[in-house]
Amino acid sequence: MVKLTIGSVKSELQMMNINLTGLKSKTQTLKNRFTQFSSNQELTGTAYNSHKDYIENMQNPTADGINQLCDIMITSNNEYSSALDEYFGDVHEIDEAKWRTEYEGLVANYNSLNGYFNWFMEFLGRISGAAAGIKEHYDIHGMLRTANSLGEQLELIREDIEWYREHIEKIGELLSATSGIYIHANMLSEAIGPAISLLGKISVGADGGYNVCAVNRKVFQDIQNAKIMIEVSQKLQSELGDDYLSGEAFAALESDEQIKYISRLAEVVQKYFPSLSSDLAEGMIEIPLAPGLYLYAGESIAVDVETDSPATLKIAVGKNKEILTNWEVNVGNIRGENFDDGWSVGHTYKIDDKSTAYIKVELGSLTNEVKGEWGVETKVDNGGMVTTKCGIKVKNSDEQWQTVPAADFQLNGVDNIKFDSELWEYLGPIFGPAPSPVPVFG
Amino acid sequence: MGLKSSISEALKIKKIIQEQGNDVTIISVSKANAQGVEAHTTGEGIYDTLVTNMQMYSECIARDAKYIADVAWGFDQLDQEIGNQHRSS
Repeated sequence: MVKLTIGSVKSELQMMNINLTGLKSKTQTLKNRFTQFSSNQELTGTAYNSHKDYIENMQNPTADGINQLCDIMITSNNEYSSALDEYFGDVHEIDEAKWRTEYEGLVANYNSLNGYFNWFMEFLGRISGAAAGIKEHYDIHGMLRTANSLGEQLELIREDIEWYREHIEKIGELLSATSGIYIHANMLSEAIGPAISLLGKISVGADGGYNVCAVNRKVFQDIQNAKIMIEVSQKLQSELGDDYLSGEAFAALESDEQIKYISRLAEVVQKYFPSLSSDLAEGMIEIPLAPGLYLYAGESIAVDVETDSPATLKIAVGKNKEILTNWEVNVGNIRGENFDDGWSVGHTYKIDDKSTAYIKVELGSLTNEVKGEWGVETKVDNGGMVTTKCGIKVKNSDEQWQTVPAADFQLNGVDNIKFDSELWEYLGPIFGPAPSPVPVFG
Repeated sequence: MGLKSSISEALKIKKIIQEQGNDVTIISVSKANAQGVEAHTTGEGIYDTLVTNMQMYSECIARDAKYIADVAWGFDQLDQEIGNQHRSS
């Protein structure tokens, strides 16, 4: 259940942003001093050089990361604040539990009042059909005024019920619209945390130099990788605009629509990040794009280690990279062939005797993942194959990026009208205008 | 280039790093009354982590600035030793 005081949350976001702006400026100054130190030619010697290396490769990436994290947090906080305005600009406090209770109470009141109203109308109908001597015992016009006033009250309650229904539904919309807001900040924060922790543990050796092993250096490289990943993700978001999909939305598309989406994604990725597969740290990379959706890239090499030489592999890797870099030119000029092997569907593009480009989507797998991929396969002399690829995958199992679950409470809208309009057609000319028809909530 | 010149440079930079470093921390913000809002909880969590990390980072910066001072002191000692040797020879 969501409970949130809009004003407090917004002022907290504002306060956070003021602090982040201050921190950003301090880390920027600190970084400038680091640079001044590491580029100072007068300071030489083992201890100074070791310190310079440490500053260059560990302190600087950390300071850069903190700086960028501040920027991303500020943007995300602003986005969150705007979302609150957009969905709940007219309320002071969101209290889902209270709203639901009040909604249910109002519906119960409404239904009971409506029951009485209908009984009353039937009673009026019976009187109007009664013999003249009986009819005159009743103040029918007075009764009609009561009926009209009851109808108006019901209408007012109905409006209140509608307000609650709309606002409870908006909670779900807000949750869904804001679920991915802090994805990038989270990514960077996760890379910075270990780096700062490690900075505190790096010791100075007997020779006056810092003790940093290669494994530890990678922790700082991870910050740079996270920054590249965020850059890719943000660029895709801005280029694809409204077409930018969540994992759930991608999985829900028909396979030909998925192929179209992958083709569009391939154009954008290859245009702005032509060597994504080889840019980042070794091995396969995964970039969270949206809740439940990851971009992956990398190379897979299937070769015979005894007969395929490293030189031929290098040539194949280079060729794949070149084809991917000029993706639109290479693939756009070739007529693709459709394929459907039962597991995946897509198009292949024969570049030459050795290389084939492809776009495909996997229709289903045991791992509960949905995948869309583009890439190039190049044969190596002795039967091996080098595949360089990018793609997106939908992961349902990863809790961290799971979409917000849909609201568990279904609200019923107006469903039927119990007011007997035919009866009023008959009574109308006698008693005047009919009360508004009244819907019943069930 | 005399060692003295390096020392003064190092100490100058040390001073600036230490001044900045001792203050690279961010104050916390009070928790808003919010429950069950995933984005808000995540945002607050990241900010809290950042606050904790900044306290640790500030300590690292102070330590590193001190290390620069130690190295500068070492150079100063060396400089004096060399000076003494020159005088005695």
